[in-house]
Amino acid sequence: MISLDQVEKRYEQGGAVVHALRSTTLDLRGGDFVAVVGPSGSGKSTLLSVLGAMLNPSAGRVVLDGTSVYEIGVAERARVRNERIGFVFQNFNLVPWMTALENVELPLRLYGGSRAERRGRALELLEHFGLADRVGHRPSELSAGQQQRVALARTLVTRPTLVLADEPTGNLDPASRNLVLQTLTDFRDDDRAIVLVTHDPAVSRAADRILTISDGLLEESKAASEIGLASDVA
Amino acid sequence: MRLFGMVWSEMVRRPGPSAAALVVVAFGVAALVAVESVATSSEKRVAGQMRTLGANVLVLPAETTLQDYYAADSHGESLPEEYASRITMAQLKGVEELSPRLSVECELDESSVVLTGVLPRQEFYEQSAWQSFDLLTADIDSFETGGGLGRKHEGCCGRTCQLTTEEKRSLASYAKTRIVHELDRDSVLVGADVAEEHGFAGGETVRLLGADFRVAGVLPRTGTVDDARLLGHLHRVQEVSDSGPVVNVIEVMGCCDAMAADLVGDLKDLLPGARVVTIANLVEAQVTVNGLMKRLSYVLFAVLVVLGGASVASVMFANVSERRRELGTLMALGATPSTVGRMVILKAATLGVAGAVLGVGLGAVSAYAVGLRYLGFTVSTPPAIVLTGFGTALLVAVVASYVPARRAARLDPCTCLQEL
Repeated sequence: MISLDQVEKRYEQGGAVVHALRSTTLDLRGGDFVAVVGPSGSGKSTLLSVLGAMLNPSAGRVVLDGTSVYEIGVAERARVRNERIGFVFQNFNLVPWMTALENVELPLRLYGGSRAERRGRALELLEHFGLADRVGHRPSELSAGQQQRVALARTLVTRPTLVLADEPTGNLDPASRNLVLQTLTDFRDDDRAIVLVTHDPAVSRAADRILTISDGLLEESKAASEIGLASDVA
Repeated sequence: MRLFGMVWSEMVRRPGPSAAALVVVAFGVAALVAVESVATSSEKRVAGQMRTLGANVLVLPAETTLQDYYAADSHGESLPEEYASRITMAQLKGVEELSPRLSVECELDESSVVLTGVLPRQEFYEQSAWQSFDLLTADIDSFETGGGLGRKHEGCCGRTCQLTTEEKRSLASYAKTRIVHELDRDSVLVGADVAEEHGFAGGETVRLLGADFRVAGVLPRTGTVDDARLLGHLHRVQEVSDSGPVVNVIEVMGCCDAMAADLVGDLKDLLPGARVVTIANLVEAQVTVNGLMKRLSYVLFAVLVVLGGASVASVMFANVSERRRELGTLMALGATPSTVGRMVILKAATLGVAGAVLGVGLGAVSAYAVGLRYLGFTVSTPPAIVLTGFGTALLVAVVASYVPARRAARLDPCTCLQEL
């Protein structure tokens, strides 16, 4: 699925070198649901960006489905992001002037496909998330929970093999949070891995594996079940 | 097409940010199109007037204003016919032909037409020769090649002196010479439009001002007011209209414009009671205005380029800045930097084209209205001006959006997505 081999990310800041990610090695397979926990500034978002083919590492290789994503061209990497990687953001990042349906269609629209096919797939997902009566609404006309469900539909519309969720429940009420975590759990299968970044230990309990990151250093924790935490997710 | 659909949706659903640039571009194009249209139509009108007036020097009654002459040469004021003979006998350098004319309005088959009396060339020379001892023995042909009128001379660039005697005698050369060689007192020549309207071919009899005239022939189409007139013998027209031995105008074909300019002084000295003007004088005001309008259109072009460009650039910079998260999201979803850059350029180009559509429409309508209301002629907008408006607006918009587009393409999606 995806592997990180001795990946590092360094920044220069005011003459000093900041290690956002230190020699990181990670191997994820289809069906994995991994939570990455750590305090603010620990390197969680950097890790997610590197995994998401958006941030070129200073060293090491990132291989997704056999493709070394930082050794291919910019356009090809963008296509990899579009077809194989799905993002879920804390702030949903829906396009404000598009309807819910258009937002879900957006990733498919970037690389073609028939309009009917796009629309059919988007409607199917919106129905799955209970938003069939909200397809023509703009994000400002939806609640936070509804917006995040639209964002989840947009993430899954391309059937990605890797879903990267950055604090996806940060702005949600408990009911919506549970729904999002349930959805991520449901969509994990043999062909799809999920990486969830959070600083909320309760949310991390939904995952099978928990990785902690601190000062750019990634370490494996025990599985939630092994450390005796009951998942909030049914 | 997919990109255009997204760009168009964004502009339609969020019109606010683009509206200012659209208005600036539209007004710039409108001003450019309107001024260019008026200037071009005015130039065409001046050219038409020059063609219509035919001669390049006019001897008019002193009371006649230039505006009167624009309206018609049947202005009611008159000058003595004898002035024509004076000009002939003075043998002024540069005079190719003379045509004293008297125009009167009359009825023909219940419609109003202008009957213009002209002095046939043959009779005109005979009259001049009779009045001048030097010319008494000269026949017409030797007069044409060796005397004052019609003779070839250095620097000649006119229309009539290049013709042979036979060509000058032909009715077909009227369009060039505006001279009728022979015409009976009881005959008329009809202009092409009159012949067409009344079905004249020659040989018919027409009744004008209470007298019968035989249609001696149909004049070739000249593209001048003469197409809508009947030409009769000057003295017969004077008789039937009770005008006396007067004319409205003496048209002088100067050898060329420079020669015509020298002629004016000579003619003024010769005929102190008359107003002597050149075609250049007649259209001078309009030519000056046309020149000013041309310069104004260049200024407007510069304003469109600078203000329109600045406005589009400013709107696109603001647009890229406001949509950083949106553009970052697009990149995360798989848009390439070049796709994002193209979206910005496409939006600017759409603004340019939309502004041009509005501007060309507004400019063409404004020019038409101004022409009708203030200028007294129809102003049309030629396709070349429409293309200039579109081309300029599109080019300005695309060039102005280049830097914002580069900035958009270089956005770091990671940074954009972390911004609140």
